[in-house]
Amino acid sequence: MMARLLDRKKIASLKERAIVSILAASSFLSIIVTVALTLILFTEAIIFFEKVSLKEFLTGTKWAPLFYDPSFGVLPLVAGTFLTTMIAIVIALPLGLIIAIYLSEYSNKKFRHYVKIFLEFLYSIPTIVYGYLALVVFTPFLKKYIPVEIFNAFSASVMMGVMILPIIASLSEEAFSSVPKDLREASLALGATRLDTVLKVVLPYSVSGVLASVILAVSRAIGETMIVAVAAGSTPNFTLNPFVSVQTMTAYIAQVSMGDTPFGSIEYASIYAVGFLLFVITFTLNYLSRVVFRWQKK
Amino acid sequence: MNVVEFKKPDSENKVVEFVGFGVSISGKQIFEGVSFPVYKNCITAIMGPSGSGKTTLLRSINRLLDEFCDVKYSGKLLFEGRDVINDGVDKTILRARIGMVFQRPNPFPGSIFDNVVYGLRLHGVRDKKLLEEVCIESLKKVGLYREVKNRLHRPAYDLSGGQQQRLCIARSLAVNPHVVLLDEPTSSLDPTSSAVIEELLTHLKKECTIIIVTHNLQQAGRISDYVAFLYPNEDLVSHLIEFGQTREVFFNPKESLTESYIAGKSG
Amino acid sequence: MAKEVILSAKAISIRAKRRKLAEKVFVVIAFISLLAVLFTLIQLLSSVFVKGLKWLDLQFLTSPPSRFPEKTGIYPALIGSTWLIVLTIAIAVPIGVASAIFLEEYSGKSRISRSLDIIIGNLAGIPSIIYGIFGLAIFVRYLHLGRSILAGALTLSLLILPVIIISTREAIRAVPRGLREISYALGATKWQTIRYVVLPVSSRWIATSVILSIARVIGETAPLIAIGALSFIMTTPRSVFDPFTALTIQIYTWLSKPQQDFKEIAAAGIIVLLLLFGFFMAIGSAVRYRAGKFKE
Ligand SMILES: Nc1ncnc2c1ncn2[C@@H]1O[C@H](COP(=O)(O)OP(=O)(O)OP(=O)(O)O)[C@@H](O)[C@H]1O
Ligand SMILES: [Mg+2]
Repeated sequence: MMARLLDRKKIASLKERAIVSILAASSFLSIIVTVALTLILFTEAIIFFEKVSLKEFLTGTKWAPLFYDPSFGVLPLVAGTFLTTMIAIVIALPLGLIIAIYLSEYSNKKFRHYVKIFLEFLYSIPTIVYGYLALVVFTPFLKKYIPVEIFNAFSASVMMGVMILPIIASLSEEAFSSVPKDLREASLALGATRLDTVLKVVLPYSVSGVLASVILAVSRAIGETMIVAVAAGSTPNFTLNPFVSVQTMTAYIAQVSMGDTPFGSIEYASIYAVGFLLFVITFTLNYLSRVVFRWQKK
Repeated sequence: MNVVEFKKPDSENKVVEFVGFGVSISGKQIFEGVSFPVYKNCITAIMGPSGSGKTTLLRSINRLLDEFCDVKYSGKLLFEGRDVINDGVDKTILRARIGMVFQRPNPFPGSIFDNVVYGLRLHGVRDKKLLEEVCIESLKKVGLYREVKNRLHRPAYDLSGGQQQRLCIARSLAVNPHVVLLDEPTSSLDPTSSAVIEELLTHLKKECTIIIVTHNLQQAGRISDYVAFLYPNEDLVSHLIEFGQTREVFFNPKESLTESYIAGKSG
Repeated sequence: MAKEVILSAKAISIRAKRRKLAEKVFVVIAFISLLAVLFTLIQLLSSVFVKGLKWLDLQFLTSPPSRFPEKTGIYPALIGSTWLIVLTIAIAVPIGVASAIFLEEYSGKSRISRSLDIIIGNLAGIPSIIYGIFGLAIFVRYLHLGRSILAGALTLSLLILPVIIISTREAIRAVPRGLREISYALGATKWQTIRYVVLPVSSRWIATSVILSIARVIGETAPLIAIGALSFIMTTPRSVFDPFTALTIQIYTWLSKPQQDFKEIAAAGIIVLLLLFGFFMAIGSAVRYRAGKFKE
């Protein structure tokens, strides 16, 4: 009897060990993916950089991969990305902050709850829908007042602003809510209004959380593909004029990978070069966001 | 809104007076029928077991209670002769006249200087020189000036806990309040820092009236002139059990509840 | 004293009035901003419905795409999306839940677990188009899966894996300590405790994350474009190695056409997309809401 029980235990522990190995293997998959992803981007990009110098890539102001005499200066794509992202932030930051302040300081619990659900929904709407809205609804509307091109950075940016607004609003609201209650009370007890308190105490206290949310929002805007692919156009344009067609880094990658570009061609390699750059930028921003976020905890 | 200056009472006056005062929060009666005066230039300690409504009582004086919960007041609460509940008193003015210090030091983000002059700036004082003067004076009052004079513009968070609490007292003194409310101001501090603050309060009472909530019987005995003792009944509604001069209440309590509370606490 | 004069009741009251006014203005502005966002969204979405609804009929749902607006339909895309959802979830959820269990229960606070934490956090922040070109290189090209459903599902699995891991870990962490201790006290092994206590208790939360992942898979476009999901597919796929199209890809193709009619057809496609997406979001939120209640 005893022996059988012991035996069972042994089997159980053998089985457990097997299970743990499987579990461990699954989580190491994340490491493998990370390594493989970096490696692939890197090696494919290397193929590209054998033909185009890093200097030309990073400082060239003309992006024309399809020309007979192609040129691969990435700056127009970077400018397109920068332009759309900046406009999106200019729209989303004030609105997001105002909403965050309203939610954390003025609204009641129930209202806050529902608005946060709404914001989450807003954020997770498939971005192709925003692309549609920009191209089919917003641009024609804009055209009535300003002479804009059919594909233009502005429409796409506005929709992108709506998309990232929830990130700023939600995360800032969380940062505000983490401010100790008695700091607010001390300010009110000195005769401040809630608005005074937010501006002079709550915001300074949670500035790192707000900043982290903004950086994260920037990173998401830079990495967003569908809105710009649909509505901003596909003209690499080294410009900061928001009313003309531009191409972002993501839109270029989408454009090329969609077509039947043969593997091994320089065009094919170029999406990995651009992808690698995009990866480095967003990775850095995400890292920065986390570092900044940690300041507050001190 | 009525813009009437609260008169500094001349002598012997009751700065604050509770008259049949009661509070209920979201329909739950916390205490009722509380009547006692707070005399000028005295330290009045509010005592009682946990949950007996001491904090609630303190926060109704500057109406801070209204900010975060649904409050119903009953009876009267007189501040310098005017009922702050029913007389349409401007809360901003009220709060400019009543300082408050919290259980845990809670300096604002920003420099030591910013902290001290927060109230003055709020009320529109922009004159740099004046701000500086008041800042120094207030820091001197709490005995912090010598320790921080070289780093007035450094973050307040760099100070120790005891120093931070004194900074918070200085912050409330800068607007020259008539009354300072303190809610267990030393409960998060080490004995040395606590002693410094106790000492400080006994000096401060020459300038303003002090109301302090404390759990520490010895502390109340050492520094207070009057004691108010709250105790909940079986329905968990508190009443004022006893009010009087500290010595009287401690050594010669009229109520057996007070006696047993004091005996239990000190024994 | 000088201060006394400066902080006269009158001075305070004048300032206070101004500050209170500023506050009122702010509250009004904030409320209007909030309404504006809500209103804009409703306005925009209603325009989608107005444009798309007239194209949305049984014929649209059951036909393959066509050059002629009145004949075109979304059927292969619907089937393609369904395949994608099923496969992606089947691949990502077991792996995600397994890693979450390992990270929460077995790896402790070791160095490895902390680096894994960071790595997974990073993976969650990578733009989806990058997953797309990664999938293009690995699955389509090196593993010779071609532009197939399987390649698409694998790519999307990588994309949602970190999300599933993170939310499952939260779910596991929310299991009360006492429950585990009871299980150990009864002599259960660690795995038995996980299998019979931790997982059942946290299953609702895990289910939520799965449902929300489905919503995400339905709406994902960029990675599928990158691995080259085709849009002009007339037939429905028969195996996971067949080429495919998906709802979002189909919508994108219609949007790229210059004719106005196709823009409206895209709107019809978006209605279908939003209904499906909304359905899963709603279920996910409802389950989470109830799970939240349960936790209290
Ligand atoms: N915001 C609120 N909502 C509901 N009830 C409250 C609120 N604030 C306080 N109370 C209740 O009022 C009662 C008195 O609380 P209060 O904080 O005044 O007690 P206290 O005497 O200061 O206790 P302690 O010594 O622990 O600080 C308690 O029963 C508490 O639950
Ligand atoms: Mg208290």
